[in-house]
Amino acid sequence: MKIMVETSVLIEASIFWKCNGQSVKGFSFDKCNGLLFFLKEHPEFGIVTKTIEDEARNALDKAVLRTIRQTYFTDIKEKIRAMTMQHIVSNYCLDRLDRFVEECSSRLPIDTKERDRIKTQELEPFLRELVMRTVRYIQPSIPSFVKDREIREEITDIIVKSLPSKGIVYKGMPADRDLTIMAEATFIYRKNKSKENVYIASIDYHFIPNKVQVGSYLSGYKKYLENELDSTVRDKLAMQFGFVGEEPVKIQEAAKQEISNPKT
Amino acid sequence: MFNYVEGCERLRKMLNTFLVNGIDEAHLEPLDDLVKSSQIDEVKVLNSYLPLPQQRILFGALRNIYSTTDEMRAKLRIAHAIHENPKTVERALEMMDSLCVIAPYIDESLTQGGTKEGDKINELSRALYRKANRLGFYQNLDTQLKHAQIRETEVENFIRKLTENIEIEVETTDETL
Repeated sequence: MKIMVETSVLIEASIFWKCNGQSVKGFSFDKCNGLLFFLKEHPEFGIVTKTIEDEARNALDKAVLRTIRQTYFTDIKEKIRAMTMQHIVSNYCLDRLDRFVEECSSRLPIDTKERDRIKTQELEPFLRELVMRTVRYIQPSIPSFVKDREIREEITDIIVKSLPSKGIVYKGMPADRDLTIMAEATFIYRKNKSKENVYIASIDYHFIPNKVQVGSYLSGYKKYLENELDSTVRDKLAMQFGFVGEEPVKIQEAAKQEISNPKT
Repeated sequence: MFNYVEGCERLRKMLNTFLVNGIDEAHLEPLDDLVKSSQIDEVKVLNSYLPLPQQRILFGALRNIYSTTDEMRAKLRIAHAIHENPKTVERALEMMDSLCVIAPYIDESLTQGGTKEGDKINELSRALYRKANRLGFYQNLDTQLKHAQIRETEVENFIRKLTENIEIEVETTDETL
């Protein structure tokens, strides 16, 4: 079993600040950090490719810049202080990221030509075709003359309940960097002659089963259906390319199971 | 305008002399110059009309030069006081390669008013920071914040905003509807 730690997990676990017993972290920090902590104990499972590492750095850079842009500087003194702070925080987060990469993973050789071929000739056409039949959220067709918000919401709920099939929920075409990561996972899977499971640990819905969201564009109504995940796209990708995208917690459970029941 | 390539060479010469003759606190000018100039240039960069990403890259590099040299000066003074020569000087000399390699890029960026090699400067700046940290020429986190007079609450707010922006950046937010 191989666990490819995707950019979103790596970066989420890198942003953390603790002071006076209080910690500041993202919503998914605990599960991402939990997986990386597990991989530190079992580094033979972990993979972080150069693309993932570079993308994580880029994402942090862009997020820091976005944060600075949201800050208003009253004078140069304030600007110096803010820039010094972002410099200290960036270094601190990059240190955590470097540590995760060094301690929790190995780096397998990737044939970049073959990876790019998989990406452009296999993955991209496959997904382009697939996303034409997916929706971002389920929106039952309600006539526009039903204007009242509450009535629209009620009708939406009733229609969704009675739908025999809700359609395939997916976030839309993945970005180029996501396709590259998928292609690398495929390459690793095929290189092992499909003998070993390759998981992608992610919190990005391009990789993992999507939460089913119901909504009405006109009224702005939206809600998630409890305990409903649509794994159609993830499963199709797994069937075709071999890698399985999953949340960090579930992958950790699978890895623990494999440790307790090793394949003979 | 201060020339970082020359400044680094003068510093290397000074350290080589210290290695032979011992640390002389009265002859730390090359180090003082680098500390002072990098601090001044930090402000100049932030006060310039350069685009924010470029300001951030150059500021980061200058900040790393400033922090490294400032800490190097403090460590050399301590080494002199406890007659510890030459361990600290040898370590400082080890630092010089990383400083010298980034210096031409800083000079070029400051004289030309910008840089096209931001990624390279970022990479070298990070390497400088990591080496300085490893060799003990970088202040710890708390000291850095204290020196910059940054309060914990400010850092907390910054990180809170940063986590939100990270979620946008890695597409883990629910932007639907």
